[in-house]
Amino acid sequence: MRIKIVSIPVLDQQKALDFYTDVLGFVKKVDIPLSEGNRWLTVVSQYDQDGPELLLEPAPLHFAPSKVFQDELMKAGIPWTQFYVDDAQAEYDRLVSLGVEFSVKPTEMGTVVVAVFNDTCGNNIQIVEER
Amino acid sequence: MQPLRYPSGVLSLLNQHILHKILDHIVTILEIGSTQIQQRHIYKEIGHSKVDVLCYSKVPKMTYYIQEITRIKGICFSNEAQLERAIQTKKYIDTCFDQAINLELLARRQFTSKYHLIRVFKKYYGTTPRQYLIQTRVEQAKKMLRSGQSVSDTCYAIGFESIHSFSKLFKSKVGIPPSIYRSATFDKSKR
Repeated sequence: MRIKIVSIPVLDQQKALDFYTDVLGFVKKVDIPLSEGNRWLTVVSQYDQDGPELLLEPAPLHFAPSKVFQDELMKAGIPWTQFYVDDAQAEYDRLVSLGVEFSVKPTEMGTVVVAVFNDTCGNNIQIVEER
Repeated sequence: MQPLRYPSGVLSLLNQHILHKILDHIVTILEIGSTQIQQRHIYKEIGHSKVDVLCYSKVPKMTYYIQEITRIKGICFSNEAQLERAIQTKKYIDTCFDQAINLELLARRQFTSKYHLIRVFKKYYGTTPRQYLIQTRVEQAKKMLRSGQSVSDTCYAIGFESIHSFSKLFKSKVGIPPSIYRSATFDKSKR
């Protein structure tokens, strides 16, 4: 078994694609049209384009419990997933300059520095710098 | 969001009580959103007199997640000296992995015993310094092989003295010998 895809629920696939590519810097990997305007849409890290793909999944629009779960995580400030960065403070500064809202500023947490931002598609995302 | 500032000169002309009521109301409305508004007094020197400036600024809301990471941090990472020893050891391995590193050297650098350092490192990184050194060397080897460097050059560049022991270790960690890894990844990147 290999880990090839992990998914993240998004409220609007096009908006998510714009945010994850234009703002976060990921690269679109697969974009296959499906029924009712849905797409099989994945992005990858520009530094590891053969690595795991992130599936931008429109689950909250079609499966009510998914929306409930996503909303509750958002309210509690809990990140849906996390991405690794070399320098959390530099990435925080870069994203803030692009208008991204953070609920947790870069914070030392033992052997890592973490920060949490809103991906504008219903999720909190954590960035992690290993110390 | 820029802070809103109200110099005391203006406040003195108004009924401060009523103005504070209005501002409290605005703060309550704004708190319904994702952030809270922090109110604080700042004293600024203007000419020969000090001016009281009332400042309102946006601060992150205290979420359940923030409470939890604060709580867990207090439980798991309160021994700062111990944590620092582990972090400094990792940094040393990250930068000097190609040199002759052993546990005795790492412990001496942190003025501690070998056994204590193993315990501390494992507590914070989930692995021993030796395992972490091997992992770092193998990751560096993969990077060099992917870029087309020869197996022997890679072997010596990452701190191994014998190609046989390097190949054996690489195979045990990656699943294939370095020569096959190189041809599979380097050829693929050239295509």
